[in-house]
Amino acid sequence: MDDKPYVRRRKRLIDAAAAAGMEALVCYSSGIHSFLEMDSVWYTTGCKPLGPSALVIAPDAAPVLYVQPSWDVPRASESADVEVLASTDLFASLGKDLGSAGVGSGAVGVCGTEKMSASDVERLDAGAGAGWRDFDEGARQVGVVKDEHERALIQRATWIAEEGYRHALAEVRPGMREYELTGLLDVFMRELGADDNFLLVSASLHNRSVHASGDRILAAGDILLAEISPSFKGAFAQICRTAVIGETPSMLAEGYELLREAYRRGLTAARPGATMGEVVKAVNAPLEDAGFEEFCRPPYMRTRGHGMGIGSPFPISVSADSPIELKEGMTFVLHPNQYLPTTGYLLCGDHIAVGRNGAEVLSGQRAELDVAGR
Amino acid sequence: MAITTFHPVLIHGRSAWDLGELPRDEYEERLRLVRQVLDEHDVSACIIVGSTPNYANLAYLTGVRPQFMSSVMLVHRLHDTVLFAGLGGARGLYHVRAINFVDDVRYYASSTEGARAVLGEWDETGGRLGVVGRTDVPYKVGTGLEAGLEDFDLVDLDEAFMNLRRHKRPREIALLESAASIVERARDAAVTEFLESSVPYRAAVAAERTARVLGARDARLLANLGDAPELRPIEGSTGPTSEHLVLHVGLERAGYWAETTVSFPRVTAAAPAAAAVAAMRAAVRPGAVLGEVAKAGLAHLDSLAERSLALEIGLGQGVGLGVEEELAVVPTSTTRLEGGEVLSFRCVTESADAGWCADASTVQVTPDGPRTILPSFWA
Repeated sequence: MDDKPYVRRRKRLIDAAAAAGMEALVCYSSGIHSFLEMDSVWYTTGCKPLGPSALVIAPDAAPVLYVQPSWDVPRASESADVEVLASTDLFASLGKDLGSAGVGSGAVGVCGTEKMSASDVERLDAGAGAGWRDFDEGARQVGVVKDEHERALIQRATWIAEEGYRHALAEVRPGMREYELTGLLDVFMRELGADDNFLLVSASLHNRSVHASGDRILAAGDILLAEISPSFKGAFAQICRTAVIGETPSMLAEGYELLREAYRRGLTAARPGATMGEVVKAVNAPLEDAGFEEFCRPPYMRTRGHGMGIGSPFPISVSADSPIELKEGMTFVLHPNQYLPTTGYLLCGDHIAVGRNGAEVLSGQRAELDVAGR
Repeated sequence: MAITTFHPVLIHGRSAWDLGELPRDEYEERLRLVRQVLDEHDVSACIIVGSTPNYANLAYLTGVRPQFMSSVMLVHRLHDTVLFAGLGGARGLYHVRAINFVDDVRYYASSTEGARAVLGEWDETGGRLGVVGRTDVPYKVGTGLEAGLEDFDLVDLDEAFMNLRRHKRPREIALLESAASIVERARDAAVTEFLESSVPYRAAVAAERTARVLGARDARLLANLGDAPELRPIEGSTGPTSEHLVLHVGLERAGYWAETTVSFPRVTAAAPAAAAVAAMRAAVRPGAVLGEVAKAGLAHLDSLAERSLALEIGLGQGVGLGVEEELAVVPTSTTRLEGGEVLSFRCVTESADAGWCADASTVQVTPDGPRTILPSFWA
């Protein structure tokens, strides 16, 4: 196990910035986390920010993480591998550090600009000088290949997701409301260590999509969709599962088997050197062969998978027009989730890692059409 | 947001439109009031930008809180309102159509292009255009929108919208009371669990479970989860035992917020926090200045350290569709209460022997003074 993952990440980031002509980096977080964006403070320190925070990485200077609110310093200090200080003005504090390091404004790269408000930008200009350069894309590229530490966190998050799904299958009953089931599932995963969850659970006899849980009272025959995405210490993983409450109609079983075949084809195609477009082509092939070509496009589906923050969200989207080439060590969720006119919307997918010889599924058990609530 | 905890990447609790609670006529009336604002500001249309944390203006007219990132809507004095749905691309439209007041829900890959398309359909190609919430979204989103609407003279209507929202309508009060019901039940669940286990972590989890199962869409919790006395968000899968439970719970149901605190068992050290909240409540009346309300509370905190902690956590703010920082209870505020606002007060203090202590109360400003937002009975 890598015992200094954040030291190495900071080194990789500052090396990448240096290659682009920068001498120092500012990592900023607003504390507003996004599933599809990188939080560079978390990535470089191990601390999941509670509020606005900033770190300066400069050569020959010990990094200091400035956080708000001040009462969060003890918690942040326990998770970060750098000194943590409270600051009532993050941008003034980091400006002072940059000044001490003798770094001019034009040589400063900034990660986290996606999360900055207009007033943040004004204060950054005042603290670091207006010549700073946006390094968000550079940071995302550095994090494309997951290191051993992040991979271990994602593996743990995958385990939490699978345990959560098992719990949901055990708890679900006709007569429950959708949101009650979701609440039980969510908090069960929290007790397993999840600090967040991109969680969508919904059900009906014929689903048009998966969506946030509503007031619907679950009934026998409902097809339950669960997109379960817990975060463990800031690293997200996702599984996509489908279950029937009661008996399984044969047409549903056939439709689901088609998605499983699409998933298997995608797995086979997901090898180092392949493009995301090639993976999508492989996923779509069995569906198109079965006469569902028009359903392989929005609005009947969204994407065949995606990366996840709050590390690098690469490969962003597993879509037909994506030129992104798969590299060993990448992770993403592969999910041929979609609507079929014969079955409604179905979910089938897992978090995978790209290994030297092909895709490695991080889940212990692959998606199948489950039966629950009997 | 003054009710601090980890911001969730997706708002994933109950997402539904109860037509009994908020019938269409409620939204029709709100739309009429907004169109009146457009008239008063001499604009034909306005664009409203909202995000997951700053959703109040969007939800006021639609019932929608963006689950994820940001959403946009356009309102015209004469034409039907258009809402852009954000989550999951076009796949998400069906659900948004089912849970919001606006019929015309669309998906555009670019909100700016979408806005230009809708304005074009309305023959609005330049001149004055109202805009709400452009500073509530990330800088890049806001500047992208402004660049795409460069043919228009953008007129900020944030203050006018806040003036509409600050006076709570009767159905809004009912929804605030519903949220208060859940938060009370969550607090009870936490205390019950703490009595059994003496583990604040377990108490916080019990509070969240109760909140979500009873229909909270968002739940924000902080508790004394570590060995140190300060409040923390829930992380990990366990925590140490403690002689005290200190918990701060904020939750949203149907867009409306409630918050409460727990200091258990009740100790003498909690008296200053309780006195500060009581003093702020007592100072509430139409015409009172929020800065003076804050000072009334601070007067009960003896030391600079106590006052600093209380101010950093926040003495309170307006509450309704979101947390209304425009009505922040801070000593520097010159905002004068008008009546009809709902204010959520809190005070957190620290003592050497009992750790952190907290108290909270939510009131509506009425001509007779504060009226407590009490739980309704259904939860």
